[in-house]
Amino acid sequence: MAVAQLYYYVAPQSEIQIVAKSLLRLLRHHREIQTIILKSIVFIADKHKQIFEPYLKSFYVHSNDSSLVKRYKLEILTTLANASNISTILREFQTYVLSSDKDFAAHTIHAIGRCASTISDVTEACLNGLVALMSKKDETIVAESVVVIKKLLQINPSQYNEIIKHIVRMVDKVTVPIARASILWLIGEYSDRISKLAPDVLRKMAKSFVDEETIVKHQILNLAAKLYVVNAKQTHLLVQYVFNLAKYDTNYDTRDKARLLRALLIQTDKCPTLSKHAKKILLASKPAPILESIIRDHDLYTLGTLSFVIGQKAVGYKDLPDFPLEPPDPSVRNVEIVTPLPSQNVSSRKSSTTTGITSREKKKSVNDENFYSDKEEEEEEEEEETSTEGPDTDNEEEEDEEDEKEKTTQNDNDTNEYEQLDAQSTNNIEPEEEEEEEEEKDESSGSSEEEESEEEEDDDEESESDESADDEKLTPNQSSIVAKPSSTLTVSDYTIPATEKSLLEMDLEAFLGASSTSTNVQVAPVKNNIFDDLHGLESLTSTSSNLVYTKQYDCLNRITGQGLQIQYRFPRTPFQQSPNMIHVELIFTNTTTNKDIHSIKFYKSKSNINIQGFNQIDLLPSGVSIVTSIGIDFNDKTQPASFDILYDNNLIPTSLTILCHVGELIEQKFLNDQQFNQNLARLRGMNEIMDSVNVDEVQISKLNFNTIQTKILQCANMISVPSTSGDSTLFRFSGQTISSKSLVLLTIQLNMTQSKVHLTINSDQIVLATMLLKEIKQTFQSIL
Amino acid sequence: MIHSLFIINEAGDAFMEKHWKTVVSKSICDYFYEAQKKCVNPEDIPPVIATPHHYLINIYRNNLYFVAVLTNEIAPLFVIEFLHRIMDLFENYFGECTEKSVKDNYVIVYELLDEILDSGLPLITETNILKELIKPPNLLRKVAHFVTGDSTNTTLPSKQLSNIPWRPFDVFYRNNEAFFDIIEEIDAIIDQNGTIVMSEIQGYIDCCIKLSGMPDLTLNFVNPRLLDDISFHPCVRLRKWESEHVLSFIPPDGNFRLISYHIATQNTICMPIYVKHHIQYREGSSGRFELTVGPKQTMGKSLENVIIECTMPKSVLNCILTPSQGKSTFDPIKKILIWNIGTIETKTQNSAHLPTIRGNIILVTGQPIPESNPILNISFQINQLAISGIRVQRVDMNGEIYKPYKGVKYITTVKKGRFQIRT
Repeated sequence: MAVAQLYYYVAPQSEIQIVAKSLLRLLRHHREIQTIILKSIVFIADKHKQIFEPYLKSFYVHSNDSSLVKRYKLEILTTLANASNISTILREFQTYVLSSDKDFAAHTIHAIGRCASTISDVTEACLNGLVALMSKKDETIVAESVVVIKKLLQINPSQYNEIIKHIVRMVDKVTVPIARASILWLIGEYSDRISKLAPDVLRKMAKSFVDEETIVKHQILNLAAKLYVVNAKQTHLLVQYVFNLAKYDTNYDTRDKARLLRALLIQTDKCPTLSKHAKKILLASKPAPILESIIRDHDLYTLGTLSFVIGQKAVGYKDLPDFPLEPPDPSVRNVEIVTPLPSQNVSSRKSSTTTGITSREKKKSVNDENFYSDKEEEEEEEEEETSTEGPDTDNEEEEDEEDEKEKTTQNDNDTNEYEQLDAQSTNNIEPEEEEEEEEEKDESSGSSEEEESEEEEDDDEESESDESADDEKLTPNQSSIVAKPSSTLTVSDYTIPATEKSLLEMDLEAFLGASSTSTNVQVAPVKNNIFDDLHGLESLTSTSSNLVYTKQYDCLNRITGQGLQIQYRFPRTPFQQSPNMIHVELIFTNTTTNKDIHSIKFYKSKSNINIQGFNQIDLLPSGVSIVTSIGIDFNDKTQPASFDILYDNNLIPTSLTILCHVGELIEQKFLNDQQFNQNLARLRGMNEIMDSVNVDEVQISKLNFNTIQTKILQCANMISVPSTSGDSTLFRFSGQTISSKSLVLLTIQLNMTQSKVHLTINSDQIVLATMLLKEIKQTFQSIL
Repeated sequence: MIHSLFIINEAGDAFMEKHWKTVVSKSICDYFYEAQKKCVNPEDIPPVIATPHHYLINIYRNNLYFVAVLTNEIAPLFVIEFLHRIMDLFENYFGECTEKSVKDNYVIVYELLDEILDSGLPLITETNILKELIKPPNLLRKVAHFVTGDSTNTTLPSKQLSNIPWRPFDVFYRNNEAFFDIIEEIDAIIDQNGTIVMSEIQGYIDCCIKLSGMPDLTLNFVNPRLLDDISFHPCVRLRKWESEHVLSFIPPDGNFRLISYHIATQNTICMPIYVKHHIQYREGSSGRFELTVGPKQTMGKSLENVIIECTMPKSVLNCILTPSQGKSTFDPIKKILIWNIGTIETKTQNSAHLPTIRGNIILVTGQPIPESNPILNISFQINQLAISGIRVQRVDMNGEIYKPYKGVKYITTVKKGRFQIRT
């Protein structure tokens, strides 16, 4: 039964069929079980007629079934009746009518009535049958048939004059009050057709009025009133007589009814307006009643529960929850341990290089080489395409450059990446040019900071290592998916080529300025050396300030995605196609071992958020990752953006949700000291929020520019403002929101004596600022 | 969660009560009595009765009512099934489940109830395990109990520890036997003219397995496709059935029902019996009653235990009938006519020798003549024939070395009141 219940609520139409057989088998069990199963079947059959139709005969009634079972079986038969099987069912019913169980016979008649009203073909036959039944001797059967006929006649009165007449003649014989009442009502309603008979009936009734049941008295009054309206001349005295009788009745209702009708009909002067419409009131056409099933409101409660059986809410009854509109968190279904937060170790560095000048270094690696960290290999055995170069060589190189870093990163950062530094992409000149312009702007403004950039260069080393250390703390044992779909061979959509950078490479850039020279060589090979140097410096400063803390988030895990895994991250670079959009990189990974995934395409955005989709990916071979970019206009809100994708010719779109942290809504906006102060002065008052974090003395002493910058970059994409005052306790950062381009200014003041960190944010977007402040505060608290 | 259980006899006396949680007053049964009073027939009592604070779920069997008291929402089928299970269990322990047997074995009844239900939730319902926990009553134990005054069972059941929960490890029989009873029941309604309105076959395979060790049995059918809808004992390997239509299982020890099945309704069934009837009421308090029963397509097997039951209309005062075979009785209070024919041999095919019953019906004077003729309920049994034609091809045993005795028996029968002839 529980299974049936499950099938009923969850299974698709096509599969519910199986339930029928098992339920029918249960019918063979004890009487009590039969009763409850039948009740459930009534309920199911109501919704899904077709599943029980083949088993119609199983519901035929045995004479020794218990009365409840009989009733339910009848109910089921009635429900299942349709034009094709009605003849057999009716034949069955005819036998039931003859059954010695009179109640059951009455129910059968009722059921016949229902069949007749639902299936128009047999209405005639049913009526004839019922009329025949009326000539039976048994009281209850006759009464029930009269009641049912009355209801049927109401549906289509015009055709059945004969039947009405026949019924009217029976009024003397019938003694069951409800049947008598029905007959009287019929006479009243259709008195125009039997104008000769009607007054005569009223005369007879008036005689026996005193002895009748209340319900019959009411109908007599009705009849009298209706006849009076139609045929006042003949019946005037009779009606008066009946009303007088009713006036002294013991029943309140009868007296009231009589008074009402009298006022309406006879004492017209008292309420003239109503009396004018008396005919309309009394002889209004009435809608035909719908013959209802005897078991009503059974869909209030969950099938098969106690509440369902007794038809009232039992203690502890819980409704079935509605189908969730949002798919539940897919991670619930993860059986294997999937790294929830792919670490940032390498990817952070990678993406750090994507910002600013270094983004020029967009690479296109030549082969299908995928780059994995060692951990990745261990965890995901399917992806066994590893680069040919062993981890040792890299580490050696790293060692040459950075000893301390090596110590911290060796375990987790065994990046056996292999990149060809010199293989520059040639298809990306456009965005580069844009950036160059920016750069040149920066150059002018950044001339003053050239001095500091020297300092920062030194700091770089430390911040790098600090960051990696931090990373380790945050995500132990998790290694990132460095796996970059650097292959363009498979990627059809490569609007923004993978901007990954190896750690090694970035270090090279940062320390040797090699990258800048190489870019310059590529982009502007004619630029002179001075420019090169400038660029070099520039690149250094921006690289250092662009240390980005990029996390990867899962938006489709490979189990729900049937092997397709989708992660996203915020590379913190401007989105090329629209400056108001946030650039989000989607990493599609085919985690299956042997299945290719075809035609992944962007279907539509579900929320109201404007999303620039990616081009269709025709083929994603197994074990390969592809990075595509989409732009999302979050409109400076942290509401998640959701959209649907289609893949593998699935008709049902898979929905993805991208959650944006407040820090990602902000892009770097470089301001010098002076500009910063100007804007700060403008954004006072309402636009300023402050908070402070308590830290202990040891930790506050550790806070310097680098540590603070790292923390800020962890939560928001902001750039530091070069300080001229030389105050070592004051740090300032600036940024602007991506959609509305409103400034966000962050000031951090260290209070060494009280061991406090004061945070101040000035921004137009105060809601955003509040959230940002909270996040920064948390970062300070958690990491310190 | 079942709160309490009352066992009520026909007279409306709750002679046994058992509470798993707090004590529920016996007065709760009043609601049940009320519902009982409303119904003429004890079978018409609604199985679920809602009272202001409790819900009563009752079953009626063997003239006893088992009334379970609930307070919370719970699937009623679950409770009903459980109550029937208790009754089955009592029958298993005491041979019958009547007021007397329960009263005689109060101690064991309470022990059992404690064991199968723990704080209102079913715990152990497997009869085999229970029988180890609580030994069924027998004379020897009774004597021992009287002598020593100690009836505690010191050994823990070993079956619970087996990784095949339905079979113990250490079974040993001197005679290794395996019996399979294939029992089929016919459901049918035949109308006045002898046409079959409805017919169904429901079958069971009941086993009595007395085999040592851990045997692995395989049962092959000649025509497994006949089986339409099957429910298996948990021991049957489902996959084997689905792929090869072979029943493969490690049997429990003792008696159990291996499968119950249903034969597709689409197949027409050859009825093994026919009844010619002639029942007529005549004006003036009398009527004629004539029945002739004959076998039909029984494949040479004889019909045994043929009984015809007929519930006469209320206006019948008495029946004076003379059967040519067997004997007939008429209960004038319940108005039930029972004609116990016994065995009908197939050889007596010529109609002269067919069992017939003839006689007059006396009606109550003044009462109107009954409109409809009574319905005949027929029950019979045919040994060595499964009416659906299903046959076991072979039974194989793996896993043990000895050669067991294997026996298959076919029985076709009719469940009470499921074979009806309308007259």
